[in-house]
Amino acid sequence: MSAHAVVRVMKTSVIAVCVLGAVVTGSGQLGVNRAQPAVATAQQLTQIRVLLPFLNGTSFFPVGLADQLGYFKDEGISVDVQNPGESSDVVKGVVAGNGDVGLSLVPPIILGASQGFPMKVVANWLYVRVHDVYVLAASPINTLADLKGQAIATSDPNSGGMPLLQAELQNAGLDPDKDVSYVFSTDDLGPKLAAIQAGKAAAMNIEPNNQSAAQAQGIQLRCLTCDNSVRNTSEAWLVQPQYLQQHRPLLGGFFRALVKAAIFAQANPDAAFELMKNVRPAEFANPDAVHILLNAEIQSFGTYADGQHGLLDADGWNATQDFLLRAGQSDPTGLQTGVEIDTLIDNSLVAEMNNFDAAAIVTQAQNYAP
Amino acid sequence: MPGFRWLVACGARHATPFGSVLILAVALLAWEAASRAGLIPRILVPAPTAIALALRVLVGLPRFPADVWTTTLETLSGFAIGAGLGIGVGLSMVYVRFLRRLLQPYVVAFQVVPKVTLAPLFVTFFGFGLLPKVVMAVVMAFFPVLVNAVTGLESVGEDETQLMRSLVASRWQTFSKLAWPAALPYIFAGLKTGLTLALTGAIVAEFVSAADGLGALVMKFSSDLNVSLMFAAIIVNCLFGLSLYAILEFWEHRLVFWKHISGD
Repeated sequence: MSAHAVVRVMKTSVIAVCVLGAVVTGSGQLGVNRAQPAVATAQQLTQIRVLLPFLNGTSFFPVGLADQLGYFKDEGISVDVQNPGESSDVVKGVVAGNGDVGLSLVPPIILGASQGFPMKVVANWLYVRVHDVYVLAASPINTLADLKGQAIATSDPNSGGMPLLQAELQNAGLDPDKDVSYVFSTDDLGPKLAAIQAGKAAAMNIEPNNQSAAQAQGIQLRCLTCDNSVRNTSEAWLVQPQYLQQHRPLLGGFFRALVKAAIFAQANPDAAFELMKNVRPAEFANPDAVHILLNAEIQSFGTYADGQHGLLDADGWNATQDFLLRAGQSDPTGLQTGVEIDTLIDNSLVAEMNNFDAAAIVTQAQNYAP
Repeated sequence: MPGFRWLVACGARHATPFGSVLILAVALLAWEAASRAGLIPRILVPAPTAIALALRVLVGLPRFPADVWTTTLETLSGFAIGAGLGIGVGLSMVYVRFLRRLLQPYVVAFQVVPKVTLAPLFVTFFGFGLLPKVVMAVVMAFFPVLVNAVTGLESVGEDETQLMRSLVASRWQTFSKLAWPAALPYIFAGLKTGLTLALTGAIVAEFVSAADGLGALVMKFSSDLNVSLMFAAIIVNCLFGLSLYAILEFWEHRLVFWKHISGD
């Protein structure tokens, strides 16, 4: 290669590296700065991009129901609901600026916060666990420890339920990587049940929609983890700290709309069922299962203390973190360093999200006619 | 500037390896600096030093050798079967015209199917365990080997074929001494493509449903939001692919030695 050619190659290489750096930096900046909600419609609604860890539907009925009842519009909000994947994808999406507010299981939030990713948890979603380990009622398996040498059917390995499942197994004296194996399948009940019936798995780690589907099919299940005390922290909403600072009233309105929808559904589940048909019609191919799931989800939307929806329980979060840290002692890739829970969680929106006339919502629900 | 000219002249002599190393070094430095300055969000791309530390953690994990072995087994099994089928079907299509006319439309049709989308189907068809991953690797490796085998076998010139006829060569002699050696460079090109695709297929299938393997590691670290370890696992996948490719290149040099002597 001649000297001129070498110089040309070196100049081109340096320019290419600079351009690549500029592109990466620019895309990173675009991701970080994507915090300004766009005006969405001619009615001056402000759009909030909501990231959910599953398809929008019965499992997240307050989101769809609030939209159907116009509660978001009343707050000057329109929502753009996206499903980037599982809970860990939601956390990544919010931190990267691809979503304004995201709903995630607690372990991925704690894992992400421990990596130093900036986030604030601003509202609790559920006070019941999302994933539990179940066996068939006739199974000889009675405790998690009995699963040694067995396989557990579960969803996507990227699922937010995996860190907690592995912590549960360690708490039961098992090594999650050596003492049990996993059969991964889709989120549906069918493949997990097929794995158990084929003898390829002894238990399954399932969500309420799977439990409802089993109940609808008359399949008797028995829960191995339902007495775990770490239940007050299951799913919560997170945002970027700067988004909370800049859009506090907007967020307050968003969560207020969700709480109203939950109260509406509790007052008139049948009306909620009918309204949810407009959110994801394909879900209603099996209306019996949806009915069972919706009732289970409505019951799970309780309050924690002082009758306030959305309140984050610091003690519960610390207990969950301790649980994960104990598991991390034997797994160098698990949670190694805890985070300041009091800095991570922020209950400042709780008063705002409960600031409405709940009796009026109940009356509206009871008088509701499609 | 005499010093600069010396540098350029020195670079001219050792241009290619030096240039490659220089590009890598400059890119890594720029990336590290940008990351430390907060210009690149860590959730998107960790700093090179963080990835290097994560690599150390990754190779020290007790499960790591088993994960490497699982992906190796899936890839090599799928590649061997896919390549064998590709060469076999290619031979059949070239030497049995009827088969060629019969199979050609289906070969073309299957070629345009984005095969990675078949991974979830294979899990449904073949269940859990190694089989769906091996099948995925077979499907990914098969077509490039088939296409190249057919192209290579048909690349024999008419003059050479006439020469063999004039020497009263048998069909086997024409094949073994003319067609097969002429096709080998093409077949090896197909094998190299097929091998990398077999690895891709195995890892994509592990993304869909696997408890171990290099692809499962990427998914696990993604689930744990450990982006550094995720990148480390991706790098290991890349190095693994490069190693397999290098082994195949070695055998190509041994078996198709005339190609390199002639400087092709």
